[in-house]
Amino acid sequence: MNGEASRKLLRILIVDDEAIVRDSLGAWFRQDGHHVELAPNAKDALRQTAAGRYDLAFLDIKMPGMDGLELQARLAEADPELTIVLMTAYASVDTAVKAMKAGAYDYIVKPFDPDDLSLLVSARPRRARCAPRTRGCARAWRARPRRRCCSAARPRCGTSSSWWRASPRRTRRC
Amino acid sequence: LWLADQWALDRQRAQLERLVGLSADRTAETIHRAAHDGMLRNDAEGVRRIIENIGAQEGIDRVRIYNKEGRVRVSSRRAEEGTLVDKGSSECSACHAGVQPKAGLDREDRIRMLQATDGSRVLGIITPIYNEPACTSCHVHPASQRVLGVLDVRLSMAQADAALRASERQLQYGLFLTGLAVLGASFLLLWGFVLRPVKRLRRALERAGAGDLSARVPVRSADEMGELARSWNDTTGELQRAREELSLMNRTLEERVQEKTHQLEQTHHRMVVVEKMASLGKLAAVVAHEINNPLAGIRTYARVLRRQFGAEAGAPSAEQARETDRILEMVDSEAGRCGDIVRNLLAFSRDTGARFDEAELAPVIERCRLLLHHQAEMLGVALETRVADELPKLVCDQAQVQQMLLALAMNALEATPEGGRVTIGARPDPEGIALFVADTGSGIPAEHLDRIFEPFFTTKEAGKGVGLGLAVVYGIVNRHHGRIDVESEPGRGTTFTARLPLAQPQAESNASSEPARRSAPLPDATTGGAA
Repeated sequence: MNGEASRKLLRILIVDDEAIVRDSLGAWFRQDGHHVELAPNAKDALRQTAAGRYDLAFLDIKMPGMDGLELQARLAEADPELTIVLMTAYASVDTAVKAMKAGAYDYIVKPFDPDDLSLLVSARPRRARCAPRTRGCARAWRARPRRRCCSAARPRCGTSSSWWRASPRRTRRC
Repeated sequence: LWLADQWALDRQRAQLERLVGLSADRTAETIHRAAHDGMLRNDAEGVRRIIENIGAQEGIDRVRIYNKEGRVRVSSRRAEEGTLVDKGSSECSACHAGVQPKAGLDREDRIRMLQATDGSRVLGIITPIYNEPACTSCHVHPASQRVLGVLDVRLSMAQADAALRASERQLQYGLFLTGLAVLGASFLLLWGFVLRPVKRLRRALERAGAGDLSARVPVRSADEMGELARSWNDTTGELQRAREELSLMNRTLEERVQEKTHQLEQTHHRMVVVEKMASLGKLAAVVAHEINNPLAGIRTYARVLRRQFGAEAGAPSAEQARETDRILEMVDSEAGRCGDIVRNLLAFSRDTGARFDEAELAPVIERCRLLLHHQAEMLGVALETRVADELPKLVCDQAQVQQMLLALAMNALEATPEGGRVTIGARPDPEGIALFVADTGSGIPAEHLDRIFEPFFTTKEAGKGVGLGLAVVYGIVNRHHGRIDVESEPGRGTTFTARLPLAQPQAESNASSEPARRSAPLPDATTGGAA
């Protein structure tokens, strides 16, 4: 990764117990030119994040052992600037709300459109916004106004994320 | 009657004997008088003639005169003339019984009854011949001699006895006929007044005993029998009415029982469907997870390939071709997995209409495992199946057996903490086949064990369960004529064992589809599940 590409190319971690989801997402983002690493469970993911930093992490919520929500908390604790996207195969408003409150960048429901993921990745908040890498910045980031969906991720509101429509608060904001 | 008869006979005999005695007395008197002159003249020949003539008469056995010493002077039987009569003999005993001979005798004393040599009776009468002045005037008898001799007349009793016997016979005939007549009359009276009514009553009783209470006894008299017949008729009438009422009530009751049974069957069927829907609801999360994961992978891979081959028109390199082949193989297998899951879910949700068929249990148990393995994986619980080799086929409603196993296994999974184990299995049993679901979970508290099969009994928080699962399991086991046991140790785990007989009674397998067909207004489980 050189300096030119560093603006575009990201280090992405994909954590999912389902091999096909993991592998296909890996192939997709590699085609986009990102650096992708895969983890089949939370334990491996924690080991990998301890070894090196990532810009973006896609976490499956339902996994044997430690689930995605718990992993999200552990990863955010370790690296507050990590952008976390949660994935689920079975949407429920409860888990979505829980994930967003815990500071997730987004919450996507399988089966998803890979193009939406690419959009999500390119529209992700710049790390530069939080110049001082402090915990306070992370808290401010978590407490930021949630208006992202109206810009880059807007199309998802009408397509794959049915939970989005189910949440009146979101719809109103959109 | 016999006593009266005997008394009459005795009277008759006494009368006859008295008459014969009187007649004998007269005869003796006649002979005495007839021979008197002859005796005065000492005309022995004349006296003998008189005596012989009289003695020859019918009915007179013999006539004889003997002197004071007892020597027979004249006899109608000449042979005994001159013989001496023993003073101790019966003829003499009347006077000579005592030390001094009696001078005068009553008639009764003079008469005696003798037995002739031929066995017939003979009546003897002795008449003393007294010394009279006429005698002493010319005879040598001294005046002091009072009795000169004795006239002994014997009359045969043969005729009298014959008459008596005839009379006795007549009396006996009379007695017999009278007895017969009395007996006949008594029987007729008894028959008419007692036996016939009793017989009618008995016949009516027998008919009533055999169940025919309509039988009535004709009332023909106002006496006790008539009264009895009337009260019997009244009683049977009451009984008949009571029985009719009872049978009417019985019929109504039967109809109501049938109606309730039918309602109960419908309710059970609805309960089975409701429980199935609840199970489907729980399964939906698992199944969505199972299907959406491969779908996400397939879709992403499809886009990866499209982008790769759309942008680079050139022929793929050998490495790209290998990678593509690997991806397509994965897509193929994952799509197949989706199909399997949907098929299993449909097999579970389909309402098969309660059909009993011979079925292998291993595939049923495998389907349960497939439907639940992902959930088990999520919960960190090992899900195992343990099916005995050479398990016989079971005549059962496959869909319901699967529903039963699934309900038990889902409960077991919920009750088992991470790291635990749930086992679904089947093994041969003396009663048929034992299907079991065992877990290493929290167990069931002893105070709940008695109630777990009751409908709507649940320990789960509101909204997590309706409490129909085990009630439906119980109903399904019951419908298969089996029994279910539960062994539970809090903290150690629970094992449910359903023992089902290999075959169902004939009637059940034929009639089993009836209630399902009748219960029309049921939600369609298949479409309900899909919606």
